[in-house]
Amino acid sequence: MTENNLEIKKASDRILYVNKSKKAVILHKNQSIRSSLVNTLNNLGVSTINISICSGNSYDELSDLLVRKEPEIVICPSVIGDDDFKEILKMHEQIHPNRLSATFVIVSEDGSLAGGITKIEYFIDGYLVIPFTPQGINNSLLTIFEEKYEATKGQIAFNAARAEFIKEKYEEAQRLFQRAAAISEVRGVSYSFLGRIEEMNNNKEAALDYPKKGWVQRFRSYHCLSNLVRLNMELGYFDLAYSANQSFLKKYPVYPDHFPRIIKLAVATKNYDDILNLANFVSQAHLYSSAIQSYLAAGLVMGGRFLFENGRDEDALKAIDNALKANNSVNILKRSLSLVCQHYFKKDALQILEKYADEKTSEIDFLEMQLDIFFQFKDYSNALKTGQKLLDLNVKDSSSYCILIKSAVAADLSKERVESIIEKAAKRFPEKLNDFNLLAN
Amino acid sequence: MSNSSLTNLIKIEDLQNLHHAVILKNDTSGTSLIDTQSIEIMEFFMKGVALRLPPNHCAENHNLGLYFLPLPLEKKVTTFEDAEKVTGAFHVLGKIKEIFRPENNRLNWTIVVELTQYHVEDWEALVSLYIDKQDQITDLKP
Repeated sequence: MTENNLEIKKASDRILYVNKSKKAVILHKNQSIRSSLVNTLNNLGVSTINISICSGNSYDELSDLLVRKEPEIVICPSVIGDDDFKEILKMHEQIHPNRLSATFVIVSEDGSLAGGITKIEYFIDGYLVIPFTPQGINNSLLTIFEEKYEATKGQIAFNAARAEFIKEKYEEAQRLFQRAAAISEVRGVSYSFLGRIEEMNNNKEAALDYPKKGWVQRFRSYHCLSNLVRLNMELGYFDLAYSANQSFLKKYPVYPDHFPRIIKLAVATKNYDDILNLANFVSQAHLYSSAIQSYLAAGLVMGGRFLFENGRDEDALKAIDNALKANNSVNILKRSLSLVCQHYFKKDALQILEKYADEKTSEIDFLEMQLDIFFQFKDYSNALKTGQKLLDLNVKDSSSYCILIKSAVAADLSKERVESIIEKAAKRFPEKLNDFNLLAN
Repeated sequence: MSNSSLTNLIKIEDLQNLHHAVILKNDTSGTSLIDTQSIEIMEFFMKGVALRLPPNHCAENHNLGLYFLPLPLEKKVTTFEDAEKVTGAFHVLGKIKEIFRPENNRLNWTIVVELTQYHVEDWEALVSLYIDKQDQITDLKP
């Protein structure tokens, strides 16, 4: 790498001039990251006095600043508190419907291209990856500003139409998207919006015509292809959806949320090998973000369900094992166990629980899953043993106590012993006493 | 099965995050932090790095030795000798210029380390990996 590659690219006078009047809000809990973002914005012309900083990771703090300051530029993490960025983006879009005058950037620790696709999926301007490099974030923000302030005729027409769409003025939006679609550069994406407007009128066939036109005319933009896949699936044209998805994946990295839909398509078109192939991605799962891991795992669990339904039990169990190799969170573990139990593999269910429950799995979660397995297989004596342990713990919801009471009844325990269980359960959930008594009767 | 089945079209490298682990030896205090999960790289600078790590491992102006290890690691690294054997690992020396301590002192700190002794080409090659990754994402267009 030459010295020059490490140099920060300078912004043009025009960018510096336009940015001088822009307000920005930066939210990130890490001070080093915030400082770098402020420095970069300064280098790109945004004045320090126009930059507001949120030092926590609070959704309320950020939304409050958005309403009060109406900043044109927002930079925030992909996850804000317990929420993702989508509500904040929506709010920002309402404040600045014409996205040429606004900039929304997310900061993420997922540096994969699959993660980066998020920015296209949600029409976000930028996706900055941690670890930052001054050059990387400067280049990225500079590119965004250059594209906005030197927007092409097509971009101007598309963004004017999209502004009306954001304002929910759909008739005007439709008229403007039709006009924008005359410009080849934005034809594909304009078609995708024209399709969405038809969908709002509950006319899916007419909606499908637009991405189809994009396909035929070879204006195969991201949203055009994505809608072509989705609408074909919704209308039951699975073979067409499958081939559209092939083109989609040839052109763009996979968006992790699309794993389940890929599995659905594979099943609908009887391409079961697609499900088995997903296992190839599991060996490298430790290099994926947790979001990608969980979408991959969810896809595999879904695949497992379809394989079970088609009598391919061994392959189904393999798919589930791979799902848990990719992500052994309680959510995936519970879904996997429920599926395995439904198909009467008690030994496998217990083995899966033993194999994949680890230090991240709480004692309560472990016992609840174990209780569920014993109960489903009518092993009431073990269900009672496990359930008794749960009575002494601070469980989050009453469902495991309901299973325990049902197990006690099914095991023919004496009335006194059942009542003693109910008494203990009702101490934790007094409002559920009636429900518990009903189960006992 | 044709090679253009859906899952064959997904590129495994598109899913992978670029990762390096860091382990640290504090030459001033004589302590070390070898757990590769504990230190997170927040930023690369031209001649420095910002690291997020558990509190109280270091102070301003402390001299550090850092090993950057490409992930995934084939074997667990538990000593500096293990780190030296990792292919692609390299060692730098640096001094802590700044520490960002959150108000809640139990939370992780972020330290800014200025490199004092390092192989310039190796360092620039490492930083360029991350610049390239960011540029690839910046270049994704609808």
